[in-house]
Amino acid sequence: MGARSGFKFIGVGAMSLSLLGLAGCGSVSNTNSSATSNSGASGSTSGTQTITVAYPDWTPGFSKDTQTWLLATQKKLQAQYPNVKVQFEPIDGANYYTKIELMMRSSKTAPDVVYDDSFKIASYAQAGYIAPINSIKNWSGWQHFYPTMQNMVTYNGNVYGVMNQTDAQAIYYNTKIFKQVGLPVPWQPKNWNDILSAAEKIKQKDSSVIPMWLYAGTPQGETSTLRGFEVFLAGTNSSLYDYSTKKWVAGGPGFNQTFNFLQTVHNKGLMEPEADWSSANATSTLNNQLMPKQQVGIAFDGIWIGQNYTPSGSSPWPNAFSAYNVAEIPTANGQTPGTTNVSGGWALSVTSKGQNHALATKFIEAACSTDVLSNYLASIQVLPPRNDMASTPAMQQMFKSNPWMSKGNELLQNTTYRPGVGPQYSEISTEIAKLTGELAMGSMTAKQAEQDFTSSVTSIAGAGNSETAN
Amino acid sequence: MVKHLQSSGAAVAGPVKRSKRRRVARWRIVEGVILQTPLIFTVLTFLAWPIIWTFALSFTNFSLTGATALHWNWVGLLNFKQLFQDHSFFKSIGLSVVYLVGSAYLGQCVFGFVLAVLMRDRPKWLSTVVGGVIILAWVVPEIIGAFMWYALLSNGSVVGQSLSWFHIPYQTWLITHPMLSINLANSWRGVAFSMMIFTAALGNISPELMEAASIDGASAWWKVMKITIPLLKSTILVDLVLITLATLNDFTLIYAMTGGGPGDNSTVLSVFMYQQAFVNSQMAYGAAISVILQLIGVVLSIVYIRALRSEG
Repeated sequence: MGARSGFKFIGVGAMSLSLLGLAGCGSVSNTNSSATSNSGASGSTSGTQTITVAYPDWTPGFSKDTQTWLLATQKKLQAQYPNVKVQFEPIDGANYYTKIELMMRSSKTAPDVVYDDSFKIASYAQAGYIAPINSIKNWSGWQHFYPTMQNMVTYNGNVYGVMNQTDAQAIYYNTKIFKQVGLPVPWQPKNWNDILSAAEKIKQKDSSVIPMWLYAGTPQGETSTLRGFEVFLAGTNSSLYDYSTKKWVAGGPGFNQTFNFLQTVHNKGLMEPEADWSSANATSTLNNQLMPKQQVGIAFDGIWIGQNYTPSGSSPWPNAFSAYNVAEIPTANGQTPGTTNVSGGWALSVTSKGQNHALATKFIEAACSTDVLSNYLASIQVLPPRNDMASTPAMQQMFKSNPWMSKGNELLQNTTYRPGVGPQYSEISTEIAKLTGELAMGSMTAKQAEQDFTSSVTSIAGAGNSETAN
Repeated sequence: MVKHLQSSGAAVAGPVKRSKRRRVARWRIVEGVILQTPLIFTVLTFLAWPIIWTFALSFTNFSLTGATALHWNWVGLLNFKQLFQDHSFFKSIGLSVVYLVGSAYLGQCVFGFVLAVLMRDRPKWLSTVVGGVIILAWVVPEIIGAFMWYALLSNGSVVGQSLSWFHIPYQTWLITHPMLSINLANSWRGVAFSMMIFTAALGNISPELMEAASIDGASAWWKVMKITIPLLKSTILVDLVLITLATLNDFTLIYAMTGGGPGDNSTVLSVFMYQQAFVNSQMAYGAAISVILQLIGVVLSIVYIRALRSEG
C-alpha cells in the first residue's frame, strides 16, 4: 500500500498540475495567421522598429499585391528611418471585421496599422480602437485627396486615417442591344425616367435579354443597399443621415421617390428573375455569366468589375470594353448637379493600442504617396483617392487595359459616401437590403416599404435620434 | 489481536483499526477529488464559464465596435425588453418551432423510429445497406452536407435540371420553400442517430411478447402503439432531449444553405443571434438571444421529462 499509493499520488499530482498549467495559459487563441507568429507589439531587437500591418487576405493574389505594396512602403520609409521593418498580419477575409475588432481591444494583439473599410471608421473612432492623426493634415500629400475622401476619414473634426483607394458605381449598358432596339450609343440618361424608358424599350423589342439588373435582397447585403438603393437616394434631396442635427433620417420625399422607383421597376417586369438576385452568388452570375453572354441590357455595378475580364481575371474577355459602355448615374429629375454617385473604399488607420503612433503615421504617409500607391492600385485595379494620380504610368496602364476605369474621375466628381457614424448603419443597411428584396418580389408596395423603413430606423436609432426630412 | 489486512476498507475490529479505516476513507475522498481536478477545471473553463459569461453579457450593452465597445455598462433587462418589442424576434421563434417540429420531431424522431421498426427482422443485407447509407449521411461534415443540399436545390441545380428533362418547371425551393428545404436537409443528416438509438432499444423487447400479442390477434399497428412505444418511453425521452438541443442550436446547415433568407424567411433563432452579434456587432443583444435559446431548451427538456417519465 505505501509505495504504490505514493507513486500514484505523485503521478496524479503531476498530471493535474500539468493539465492546469496547459488549460491556464494555452488558451490565448491565435487570431491571426501571420507566418512570423509574434503578434502586435513592435519588437525592438537591435534598434529595429517593426510596424505590424493587418490586412484581409481575400485571395492569394490580393495578399501578394498588398505585401508588395507594404514592402515598397518599407523601402520608401527606410530613406528616413533606416531601421524600419514591416511585418504582415494577414487576417482571413471572411471574418475580417470581427477579428480586427477583437484584436484592436488589447495592446498584446493590436497591430500598429490597420487596413480598414472606410465606413467602419466612425464606429472604430467611437470605440477608441483607432487614434486621431491630425498631424497628417500637414503632410504635403493630404491636399491632393478628393474632398469626399478627406471627409470619409474624418469624425468629430478629427482625422482617423487615410484613404488608399476608392470606388464608384456605374451604369453598364450593352452597345449591341442598344443599337438593335434603337437606343442611342453613347447613352447618358439625364434622369430616372430615361433609365426606365430605355429598359422598357429593351423589354419590348428583345424579350430574350434581361432589361435591367439591380442588386436586391439580404443575401447580397450591403451590395444591395449600396447599388440597389443608395445610388438612387443620392440623386434625391434626402439622405440617410443628417450631419447637422446628428440624426438618422427615417423618411422623406427622397425615400418616397426611391421606393416608388423600385416598385415601378418590379411592376413593369424590368428586373432579372428572383432566382438570380436572391442567390448568394448573384455577383458572379452577373459578372461571369450574364454579361459575357451579353444577356443584360443595363446593369448597375461597381466600376471595378472590369478586373474579371482582363487576361488574368476570372473570365477573360477582351471585347468586354466595347460590348459594354459606362454611363454616369443621373439624379432623380436631372436636378443639379446632374449626376451623382456613392463611393466606398478602404483606408489605413493607426490603432490606439499599437505602439508607435508617430512612426505608424509616417508609414501611412509613405504608403499613400503617389508613386508607391499607383503601382498598388494598378495591380488591384481600383480607383485612386487622389486627384494627382491619373497621369502616373501605372494608372495610365490600368486605364488602357481597363478603359471603364478611365471614367473613374468623372464618376468621383459628385460622389457621396455612406454614413458609417455608428453601428446603426449596419442595422439600417440590412433593413434596406431586405426592403429592396421585398420590392423586387412585389411582396411590399412602395408605401409599405416606406412605413417599414420609418419604423425600423426609429427603433434602431431611437426615437430621439431620428427625424423625418421634409 | 486481529491481523489487519493489506487492502483497505476491510472490516476490522478495534478502535485503532477504526481510525485507520477513517483515515483511509478520507484519503480515498481526497484522492478522488485530486483525480477529478483536471475534469472539473476543463468543465468549468470550457462549459460553465462561457455560459456564465454569456448570461452576464446579456445584461450589458457590450458591442464589438462603436461607443460601447471598450466602455460598456450594465443595462439590466434592456436587451430583453428590446427583444420582446422586435417583431423579427417573434418571427424567428416561430421559424425555430417549425424547424424543430419538422426536422427534429417528425424528420428524425418519428422517421427514425419508423425506420428502426421497419428494419427489424429484415434480411441482413438489406438492413446493412439501408443502415449504411443513412449513417453515411450522418457522418458527412455539416458544411459539406449543406453544400450538397445547396447544389441539389438551388437555381440551376441537379434537381432543377433533372426536372427540366421532363419539362417540369422547377421553382427554386431554396427561395420558395426555404423552411422545407432546411427541414429536409437536417432530417437527412440526423435521422441515423435516432434510428440507431431505437434499433438498440427495440432489440430489448422480447420476441415472446410480440408473439403473444400476434396470437391474441393484434395487428401490427396495435402492437407498435400499445406495446413498442410504451416500452420505449425512456428511449424516446433521451432521443427527444438530445435532438431538440442539437436542433435548437443548429446554425451551419441553415446559414450555408439559405443565409437565413430569402429576406428573413428562414432566420431561425440561431441565425438571428449570429446576425445580431457578428454582423451588427451587438454582442450583448446576441447574448440575450442565446440566453432565451437556452431557456427554451431547458423548458422543453423539462416538458419531455414530465410527459414521458410518469408512466411506469
